[in-house]
Amino acid sequence: MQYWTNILSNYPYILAAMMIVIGLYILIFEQNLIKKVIGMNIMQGGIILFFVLIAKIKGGVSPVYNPNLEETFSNPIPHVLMLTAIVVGIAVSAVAFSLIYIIYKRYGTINEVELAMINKRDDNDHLLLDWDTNEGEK
Amino acid sequence: MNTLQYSFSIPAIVVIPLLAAIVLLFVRKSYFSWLVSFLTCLIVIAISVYILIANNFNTTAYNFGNFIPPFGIEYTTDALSIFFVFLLSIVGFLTALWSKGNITAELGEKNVYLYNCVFLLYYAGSLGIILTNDLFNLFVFLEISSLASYILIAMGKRKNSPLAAFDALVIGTVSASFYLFGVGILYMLFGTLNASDLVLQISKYPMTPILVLAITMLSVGIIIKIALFPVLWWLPQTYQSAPSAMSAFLAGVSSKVGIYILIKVIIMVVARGVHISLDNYFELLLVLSVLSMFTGGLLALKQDNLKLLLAFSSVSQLGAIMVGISLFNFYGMSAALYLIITHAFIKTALFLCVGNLIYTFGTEKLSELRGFGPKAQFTFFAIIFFSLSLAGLPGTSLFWGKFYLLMSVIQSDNWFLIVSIILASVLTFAYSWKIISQLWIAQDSSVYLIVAHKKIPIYMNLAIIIAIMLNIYLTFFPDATYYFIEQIINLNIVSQG
Repeated sequence: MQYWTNILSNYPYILAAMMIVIGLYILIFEQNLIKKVIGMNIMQGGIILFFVLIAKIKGGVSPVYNPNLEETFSNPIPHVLMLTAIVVGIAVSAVAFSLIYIIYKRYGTINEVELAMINKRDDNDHLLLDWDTNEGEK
Repeated sequence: MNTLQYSFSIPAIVVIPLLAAIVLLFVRKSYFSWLVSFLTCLIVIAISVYILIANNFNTTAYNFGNFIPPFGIEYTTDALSIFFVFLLSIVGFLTALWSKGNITAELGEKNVYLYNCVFLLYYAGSLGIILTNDLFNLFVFLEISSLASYILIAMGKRKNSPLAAFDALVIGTVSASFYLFGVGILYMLFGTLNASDLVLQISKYPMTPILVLAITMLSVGIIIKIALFPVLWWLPQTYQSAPSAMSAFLAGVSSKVGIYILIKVIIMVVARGVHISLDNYFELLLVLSVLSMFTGGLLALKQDNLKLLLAFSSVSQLGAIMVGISLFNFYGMSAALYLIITHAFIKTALFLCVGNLIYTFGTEKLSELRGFGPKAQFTFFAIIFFSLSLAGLPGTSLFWGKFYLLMSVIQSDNWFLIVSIILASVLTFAYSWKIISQLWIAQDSSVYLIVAHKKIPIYMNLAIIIAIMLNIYLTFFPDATYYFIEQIINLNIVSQG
């Protein structure tokens, strides 16, 4: 019984692990490229949740120094680290979406299987595209 | 720990390329941008030479904002990181020099500044990975360099370039996330992110399943980044679809940075700290490396596209390097480091030669390039020289690395390994011979070749000549490099372990 209550009282960690696994699953098994990016974000969200959880101390307050009170502080460092990680995640998503935009302009689809079929049929050995004219707004 | 007189020269190695990249965003002149990226590589070489001379292989640290090491971000240079900074900046110098002649023709005049800007970001990110002593900072630089590399891959002129970049992005993000998760577990257990502090903390702690989980997560992330056996499919297509100059730089550098992370995080931190021996772990790594050596070699043998062939050959050679590292003894490690530097130069130079061919003939398919020799003699002889070097013939620079590797394997007395190393060398020779024979002996279809550009710009040939000189230097005077490698292993890897 003690074992199960231990596990249950740490349910946020299980949530973080589930988010990582669900994210990986979406990343691997979804064919739509945008859904892949969503899976990637869920996975990163799981890791961010994990970092925020390890900062939590029971009864800890926000780490503002007050000479009159003797209190336990929550660890602020993981939060700061995760601010950086969130920014990195946003940058990755931005690059991913712009790549998907270019892919859609070139191939007319963002389904992975269809893209692989088109790719197999195409000749990718030669420098075909004019970099300037085939991309961006006309 | 020594202190440098000008200790800000350590972060300057990372900060100068970053600042240069920002300057290029505002000054969008193509010649200026090339000059900036070229000079940046030279400045980084100069600073690293200064640190090496002033410090004589010792470890030096720079603390950001004067925070004491376990709390603040710390940059350190030791013999190992100086070695990798040299490797990166020489490869960067070669590709920057070469790209002067090519990148305008390949990407167009108005994209040159963009290429140089993102190239500098990639360069700065890789240098940051090498210099930082903080595991989370390493993750940030990993993402900076990977993001820049996705943009550079997507710049390529093939139709599938953005697709290859997207694949690299998904794989790279998964790799970085696994690494970050591992770092998170280590932080949860030990409350520190500083690598030198982490060694002390791990050694005070008994081996538990949660530590095994941390090591596993870190290793999975790093193995994906290196492109070892089960996850190697993403690497060749990125090399193929990037612009020529960039595929040369990626081939020389990207996986080597992954190997640096492996040495830094697994060997210099985890293996030094934990109480049990990691023999089983290194055996698993050994099996993966042998498998990737053969997969890469066999797949290289069946490619018709020259860039793909060289990329799969890279996978195979990385397997050989990883064999040396996972033997985890003095000779294996020195063989691996020697292979790293020679393979970086040879593979970069080969990709530059292929870039020359694409510039001249507009194709990189072996079947279309048959018998082009008389039409581009310099490139032709350079390709023969570098293919023979890649095969590791006696009298070429890669031979010494292969020789050391074979010696270390023979010392380990493992017959399976000895046979696999020899078989893999034969495989290497086979695909090198495929390049030479297709280009030289078979001379039937040369009539169909269209010469797009007759005259190759002097910068491109100059870069290849410098690469040839470097190779000749490494062939006939391996002593200086070998002394450097001995210092690295004695000071950084073995003695404190």
